[in-house]
Amino acid sequence: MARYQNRIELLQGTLDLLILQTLQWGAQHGYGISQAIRANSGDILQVDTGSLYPALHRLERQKWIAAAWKVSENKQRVRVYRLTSKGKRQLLSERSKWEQISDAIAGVLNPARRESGV
Amino acid sequence: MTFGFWRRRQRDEQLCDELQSHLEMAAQERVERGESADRAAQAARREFGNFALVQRVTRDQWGWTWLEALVFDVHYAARALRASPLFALTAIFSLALGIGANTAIFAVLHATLLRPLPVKDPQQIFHLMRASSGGDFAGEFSFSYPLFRRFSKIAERWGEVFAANTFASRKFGLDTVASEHVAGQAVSANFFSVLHVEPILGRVFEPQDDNVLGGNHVAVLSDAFWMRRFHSDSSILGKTIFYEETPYTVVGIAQPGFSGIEAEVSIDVWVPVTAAIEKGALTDIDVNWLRLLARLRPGTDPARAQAVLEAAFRTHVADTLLPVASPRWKTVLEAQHITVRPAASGLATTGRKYEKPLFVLLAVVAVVLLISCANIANLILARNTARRHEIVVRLALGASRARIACQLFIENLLLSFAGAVLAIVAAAWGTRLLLSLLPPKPFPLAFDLRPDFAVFAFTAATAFATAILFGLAPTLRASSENPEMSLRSSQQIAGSRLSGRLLLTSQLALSLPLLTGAGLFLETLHNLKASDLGFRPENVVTFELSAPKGTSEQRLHQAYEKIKERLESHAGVAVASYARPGVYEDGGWSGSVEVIGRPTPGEDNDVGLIAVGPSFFDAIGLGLLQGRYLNSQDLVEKPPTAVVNESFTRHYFGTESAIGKRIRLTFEPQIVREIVGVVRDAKHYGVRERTWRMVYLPGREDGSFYVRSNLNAQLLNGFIRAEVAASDKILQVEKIRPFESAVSDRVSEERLTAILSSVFAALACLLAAIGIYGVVAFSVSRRTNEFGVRIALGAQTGDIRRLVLRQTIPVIVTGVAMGVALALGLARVLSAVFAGMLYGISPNDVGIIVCATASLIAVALLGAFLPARRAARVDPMIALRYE
Repeated sequence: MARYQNRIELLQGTLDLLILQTLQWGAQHGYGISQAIRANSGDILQVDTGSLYPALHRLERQKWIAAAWKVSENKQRVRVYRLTSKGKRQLLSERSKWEQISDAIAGVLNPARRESGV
Repeated sequence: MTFGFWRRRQRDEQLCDELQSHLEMAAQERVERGESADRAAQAARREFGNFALVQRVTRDQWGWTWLEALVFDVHYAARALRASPLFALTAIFSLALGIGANTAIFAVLHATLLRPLPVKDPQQIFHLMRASSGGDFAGEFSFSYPLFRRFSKIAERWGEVFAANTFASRKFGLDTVASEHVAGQAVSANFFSVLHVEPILGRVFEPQDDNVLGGNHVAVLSDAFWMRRFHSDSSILGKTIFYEETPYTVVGIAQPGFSGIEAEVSIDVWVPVTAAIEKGALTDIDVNWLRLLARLRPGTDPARAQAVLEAAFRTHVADTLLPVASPRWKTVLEAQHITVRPAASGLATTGRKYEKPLFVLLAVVAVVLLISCANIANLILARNTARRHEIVVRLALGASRARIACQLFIENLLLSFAGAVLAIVAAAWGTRLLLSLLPPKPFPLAFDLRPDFAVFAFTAATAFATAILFGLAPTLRASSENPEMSLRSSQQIAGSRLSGRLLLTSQLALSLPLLTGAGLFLETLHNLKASDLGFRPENVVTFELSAPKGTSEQRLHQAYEKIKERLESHAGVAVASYARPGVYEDGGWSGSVEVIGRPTPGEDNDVGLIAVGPSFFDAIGLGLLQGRYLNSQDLVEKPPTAVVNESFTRHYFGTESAIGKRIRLTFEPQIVREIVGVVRDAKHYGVRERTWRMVYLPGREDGSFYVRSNLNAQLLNGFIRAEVAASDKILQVEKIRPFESAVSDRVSEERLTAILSSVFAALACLLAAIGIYGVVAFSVSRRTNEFGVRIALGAQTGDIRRLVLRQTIPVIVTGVAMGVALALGLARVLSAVFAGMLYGISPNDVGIIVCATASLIAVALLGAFLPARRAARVDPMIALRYE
């Protein structure tokens, strides 16, 4: 089931939104981002590394996030990503776009409820 | 580019580190949850997936920058070319030849005509040219000092006029014994300030250095001369040098890199114009010796400047010159006009002289390059046919057509730029070769031949245009392959060779005008050389003598007599004599004549004058028609005598004999001369000059020597130097050379054009023949099988040969026919250009066109015959097994 959900995530741009949203709470490395998404989705969304890292590098190239090498609490050299101001603007617009889409989809899936005016 | 690769590798390493840290963190978390280190690491790896794959897909996100894509394509193209070295070398070599020839001609044009002067704002410099365009006196004239002053005053509000006169070879020394020669230039005092040339030491000329009563005797040296001659020793300032045996004080050194305003002469010493000439000559309105230039202030319209100066010139001519001019000189003056010509590159005397031939040659080499482009296009077409499979497979695998076209085009660019690099090397050599065809000057030519930005830009642009020309058609054709059709039969023979045939036709059509042109120029040169000069310059050596200033006439006269005697006493020397002014030197004398006791038949009584020593006519081989030659008895002028030529006799005496008639020359009004001889008409001033009415006077000194002998030149040169030194040791031999070369230097433009256009036409023919050979050979090799069958069925070798040749005939006939049409059309369009370049032949001469056509057909047939012969020799047994 979890794996299946994971593929839904490949809807164009969704992973970008999740990454940007995750980074809103503070800078984080790739592993941390994947763990956070997993935890916040109640273990439903498991991000494939083969999707995560290309997405991170793509977002970095768009200058929505910025990367820096840091040393973690475990004395490990890790590459840490943080949201840029350009990324914050992007997050806002992506969020509103996503909300519109999910509302629209919900409307399509559940027309009666909408008519009854919940 | 290496920087890009280095950065890319660094990023690769960082990506690896990043992914590694992900794995480690995942494993560590599992360990913290209680798993064993081994199992944790394993599980983390499993969860992670294919490490290399993740790495690759992430790397893909970085994207290729266009530069990296280009580098990749260049690598690919270089690999493809290395795979077929014979093709690559052939193409690069022929491109190097074609682009090199273009670069060489352009570099010469650039060095002689276009390279801007190394001064501030050279585009503001203009040449005030006094010239007449038609008639006997067509050419450029100098200005007198009074006219210069007049122009300066008039131009004051919108520009500054400055004057210069270059003496390419002047005596120089540190004391009165002048043993060295330098290039000197007499300049107006504002010369340096107008050009914005600063001194690096001392000062340059200032207004007070010019003085009508005789300028300051001060000199400025060029930096190069100062370094070469005085090792940049600053103590030279204030010292006295002897220039033309006159003392001058060195006041400054001009800024490095500045060597005057003429590309061909690198000036060593500058002196003020007012100091360089006698006081009387300075104010004489008829002593024309200065060249004028001006710096126009920004915003000044050169056309307006020209109108103003022309008006001033007309006033000057009408008020001061015409009243004292002879009728002939009047017509010359009236034909002269002032032209304000942009002169950012200075006077460019040599460049302007050869401008027309050089531009014609530039057009010729451009056509040669076109022809070699056609060859390379044919090569590429053949190669692409062979590579078809590769291209089709790549298309089938999903490469876009644009991408394939781009890669093929980059291959072409690579070829043409490799050719361009070689071309620059070849051009450096070609430029020197070209300049060595110019007639030798008494000074070393100082052209700056280092290729600069303009030359590189020209070469790069040519290379790029070339790549487009030879590469566009084959590239488009190759990238429009249809993978489905082609993959089915990979062995399929290239369908239409139409484009190949078209290329051949155009090659032939382009070659014919080149051949015709070369024929015309060769014929012109031949006509000029064969034209009757009236005298025989073969086996004559000419030289000049220079004596220190103030040597008495008496001493010179004795020396000349003695040298003549001593030279004639040698076995092998037939006769030696002298004349002034020298024949075929620059310039000549003329004067008005009056026949005693007869009305003159016309207004124009100007005649050419030469003062000649005894036996001068024998020395240059000028034939006597009536009476006698001048001899040593005539030198004493008792009674005064003269010899005239046929034209003179015909003009003044008609069919009567001139012998015994008496004439008076206006420059010696008290002397009446008796005509003692009539000689043939001779062209003393140039092959193309009209024949002058001549008067030869007895002369005794100060001229050029002419020695007729059958000795070899080197031996004779040795004798001459020895005899001159033995006669009077103060005399120096100068400009010693065969008289023939003095004559042939007058046709140097025609010689340059004839030699180079023949070379390039031959090259064009060769290229066209190679083109035909290549195409026919290629089609023969494709049809080996068919020929085998034909031979097996009983075809004779002659049949096969005819079969192959017959197929090339339409191409040759169309090409040559188009070529003839093109040649005739060009002759019509360019008749104005040809007018001054041809002599004794019309641009659409039937003989030349027939010759050119015949030789082109012969060469083309030869190109086709070689592969045809090979086809006929095919062994049917081998041929049938061929595929």
